[in-house]
Amino acid sequence: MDKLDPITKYPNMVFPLVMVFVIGFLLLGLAVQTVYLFESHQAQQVSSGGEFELLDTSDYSPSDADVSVMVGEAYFIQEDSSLPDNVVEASVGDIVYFYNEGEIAHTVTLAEFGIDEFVNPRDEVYIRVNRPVEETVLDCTLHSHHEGVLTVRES
Amino acid sequence: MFSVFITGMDVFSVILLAHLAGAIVSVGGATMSDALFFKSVKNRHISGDEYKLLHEAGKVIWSGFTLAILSGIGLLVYQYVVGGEVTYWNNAFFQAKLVITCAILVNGVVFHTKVLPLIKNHLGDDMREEELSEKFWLFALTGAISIVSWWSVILLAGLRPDFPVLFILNIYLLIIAFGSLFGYLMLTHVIFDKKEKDSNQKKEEKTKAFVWTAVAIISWIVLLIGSIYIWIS
Repeated sequence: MDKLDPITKYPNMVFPLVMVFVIGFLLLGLAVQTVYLFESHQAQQVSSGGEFELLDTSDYSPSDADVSVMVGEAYFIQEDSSLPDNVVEASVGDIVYFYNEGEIAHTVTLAEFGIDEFVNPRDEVYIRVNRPVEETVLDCTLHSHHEGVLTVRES
Repeated sequence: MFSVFITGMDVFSVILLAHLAGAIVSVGGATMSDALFFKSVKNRHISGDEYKLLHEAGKVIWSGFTLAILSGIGLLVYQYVVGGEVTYWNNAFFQAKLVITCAILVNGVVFHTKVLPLIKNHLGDDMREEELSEKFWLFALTGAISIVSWWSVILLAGLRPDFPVLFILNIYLLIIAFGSLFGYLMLTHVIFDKKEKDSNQKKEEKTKAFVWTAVAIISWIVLLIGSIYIWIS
């Protein structure tokens, strides 16, 4: 009886197997794209002010800054504070102003947030911080090659 | 009287209304058509009347599709005439909509040239006949493409997701793959299962199917998590 019944050929597993493979590849594709989207979203947040916002120098002056930091040979010095050299502290929402009054160019680098600004003598860099940060590395990768620590607290 | 009725309606509103009407008719037709098909094959054959209903549903879908396409072109032309450019091209969701619309067109042609004639040639026959049962995959695939594509178009138009076009199409294809697999397994293992089986056999097969499905799903989840972990690290 079964021999005459074409349905006994089931389960025909060719189509399901092909679909399982297709689903697998599509899931992998989705995973890769999701990770890529997540990473690019984070990068976008950094550059567009989601967390650390690099401000247009022409729109700001030192008087707009909440925290002023002098960048020089082997130091980041925060003005009007008793903090040691290479320690910078700010609050969420603050505009942090970096300037270089020396004769040698430096950089202001916050690698974690994709900020890497070149500061020529008498150049200025303005950064707004939009979330708390626990001791991120503030780096100068040019000439003196020194590191500082930036901490952003809730205001 | 008619002029009073359309007072306040600009050209854009009229074209948009036509576009929405086309989409509504098509989505309704596609949903109805799929439901009708599964209902029709429950008794393991399709009668002449059921075939006619399927055929008529197809006509309704084609009418809606034509209206949606023409009014869609009208919307693009309107934007070009008024704004001097067509900004829709830059939207990922619109690009995805275009691709899916092409898929609907191709799927419709395949359905009307391959699936419907096959059903017509076997009206009243037991659908477990070899010629029909060998094409269950085509039934499942065209059905899944139709329903998923139409609803995708509606969702894309409504939600306008801000994702890359490849990401949207990946999800779309994934749902089609799952849908066609589900449809195929429904046809082969639920609707057209073996003739003679006692309850113990059925129970055993159901348990096996459940275990294998669980194993497959867990494997893919492990693979997915592993891939993400490798990617991140």
